[in-house]
Amino acid sequence: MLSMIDTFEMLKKYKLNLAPYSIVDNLEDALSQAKKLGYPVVMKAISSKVSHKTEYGVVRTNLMDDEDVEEAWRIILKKLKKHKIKFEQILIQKQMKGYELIIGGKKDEQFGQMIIFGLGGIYVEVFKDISARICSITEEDARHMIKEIKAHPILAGYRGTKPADEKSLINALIQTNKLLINEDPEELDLNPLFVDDTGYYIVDARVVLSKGDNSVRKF
Amino acid sequence: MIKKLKYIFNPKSIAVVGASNKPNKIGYTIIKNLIDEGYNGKIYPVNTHEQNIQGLKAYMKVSEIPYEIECAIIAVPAKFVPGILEESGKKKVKSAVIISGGFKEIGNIGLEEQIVHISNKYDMPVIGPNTMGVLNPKVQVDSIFLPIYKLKRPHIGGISVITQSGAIGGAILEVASESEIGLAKFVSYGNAAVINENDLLKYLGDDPETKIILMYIEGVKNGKKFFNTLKDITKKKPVIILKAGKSDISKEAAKSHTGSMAGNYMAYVAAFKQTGVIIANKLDDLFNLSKIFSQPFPKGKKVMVVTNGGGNGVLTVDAIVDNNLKLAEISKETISELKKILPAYAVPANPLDLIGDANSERYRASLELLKKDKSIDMFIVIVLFQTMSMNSDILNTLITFKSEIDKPMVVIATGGEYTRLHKKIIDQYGIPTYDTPEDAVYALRALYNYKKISQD
Repeated sequence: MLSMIDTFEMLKKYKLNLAPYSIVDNLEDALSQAKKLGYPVVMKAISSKVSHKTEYGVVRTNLMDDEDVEEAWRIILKKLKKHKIKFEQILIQKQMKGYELIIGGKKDEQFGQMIIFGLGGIYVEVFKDISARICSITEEDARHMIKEIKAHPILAGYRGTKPADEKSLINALIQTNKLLINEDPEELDLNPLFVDDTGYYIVDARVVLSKGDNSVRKF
Repeated sequence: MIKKLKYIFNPKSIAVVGASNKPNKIGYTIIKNLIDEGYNGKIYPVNTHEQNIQGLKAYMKVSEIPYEIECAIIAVPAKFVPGILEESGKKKVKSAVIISGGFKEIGNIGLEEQIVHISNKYDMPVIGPNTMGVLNPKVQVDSIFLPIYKLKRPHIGGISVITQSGAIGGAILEVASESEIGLAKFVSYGNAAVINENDLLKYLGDDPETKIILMYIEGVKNGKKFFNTLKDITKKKPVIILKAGKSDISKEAAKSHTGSMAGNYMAYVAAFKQTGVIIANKLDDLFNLSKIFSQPFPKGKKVMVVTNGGGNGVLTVDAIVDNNLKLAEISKETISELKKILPAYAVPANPLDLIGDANSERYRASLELLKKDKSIDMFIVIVLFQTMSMNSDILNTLITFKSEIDKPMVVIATGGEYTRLHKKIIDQYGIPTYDTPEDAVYALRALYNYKKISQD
């Protein structure tokens, strides 16, 4: 699996929008970066041992001010110690709002790269509300993929909420399609990806490069 | 090699290797079927012991046959097959169907590789091994080793069937002949050592006698090639596929959400959607979907439902919504006209419930009014044949109405022998009938979808 930094660099190369972030290794920098990004922010421990971060309590969300950041810093350090995980770095990310989605890729043994789109976040595998296409996809395919999921009426604006920027999602799918074709990864998750009426932002991602790649993603 | 498949489906002469006089042998049934069905080409039985097989002169070896052979049907134990194929190649036999099993499917990979090698050496197309056979009702080519008294053969028609499984193939043939659905070509391709599903799809895609292609597959040899072939063929004719193996259990634990959710079946479905394939979800769907293509394409999505039973009407509306079609909004004019001819207890609306006491005259008068309504793109007529007021006159009403409209129309009727008898007649007059609202609406939706694909 690619490290977080390498993953983010790959996404940038394909002009995929990442939620604004910064990587720090001391509290002082954490505070100044948080201010720079603008509250609220999210903090996540980057560790070579931890893949599912939420289970270890090393992801702190909804941090509204300096005080919150300081407290989160302490908690993360404590949790890492408790689980005997070495402190490496901390990712500070602007907290995003909007609908939580997933865009993914997988190399199918028969058809090659396949791209998926669906409802993301922690319920992704519960609802499995996804659509799929074989790469390469066209803009029309992308449009259909977005419309195909059951949750589409929510994206289209439900009970007075602002509709998601579907144009930006089509662009995200097309750019991911390019990445899948050029980099040919085994598996890819852009999850969660937040979208609102102004555009989309990728908050987390993972890339499995080849079949033999059993390493745990550095995070 | 694909062009040479004409020798498989249309041979002027056939050698049956393993032909027999013993009724328990496959080679007995194949010879008997060819004779009984009236195959009008030459039949050359090959048997190492007998000089006469079922009244035909038999030969010791393929090479001893002094005539040209366009197809060799081989039904002998696996270990003898490469030798016979080599001999056939040398004799310039144009094609072969290997019925025999005992190859790759039980791990005999080397034996199967020999077949591939010989086939390539002589540029001789081979179907199988481990196949149930080939059928072409038009010229009575029949290498299917199931006796005709047990499995009646379908008559000539426009549907061609490509099946990976022989057993499913048998079931398809049974349904086709029982429902009097005609076939153009039928092929069970077995292990696909040489000729695979993609080659057959290409050949039948260009076959002028094939109007619709039905496929049963468990997997394909080369997904990318298959994808491209499908994209090409679906523009020319409908391709309906039943893909087995929905519940693919991944051998390897996925490392991502996408990996764990996006199984191989999902990839097939995605490929089918992108290439315009009509997806069958169950065996019944194959013919349910194929018969809808006798109908003209609908202009739009709006469906009119006419029924003499409320419940079926409601279920049909559910199916219409599920399949993303729409109920037609009939005009005020139609409604006021309907009011004049319907009893006071019937509500002129869509679905139009003609009530349980409706006779065929009430159907006729209502349909006559609906015929003029421009808001309707397709018709679903539900008939409960079991009611007291219903009789066989309804057949005339429906068939006449159908002949006067240029819109798709289907009939839904659920019931036993009396109902089935009437449905069969309706089907024969070119109005597809269905047992359930779900099947009928799914078929109409497939027709609507295919309109776009064929006009692309």
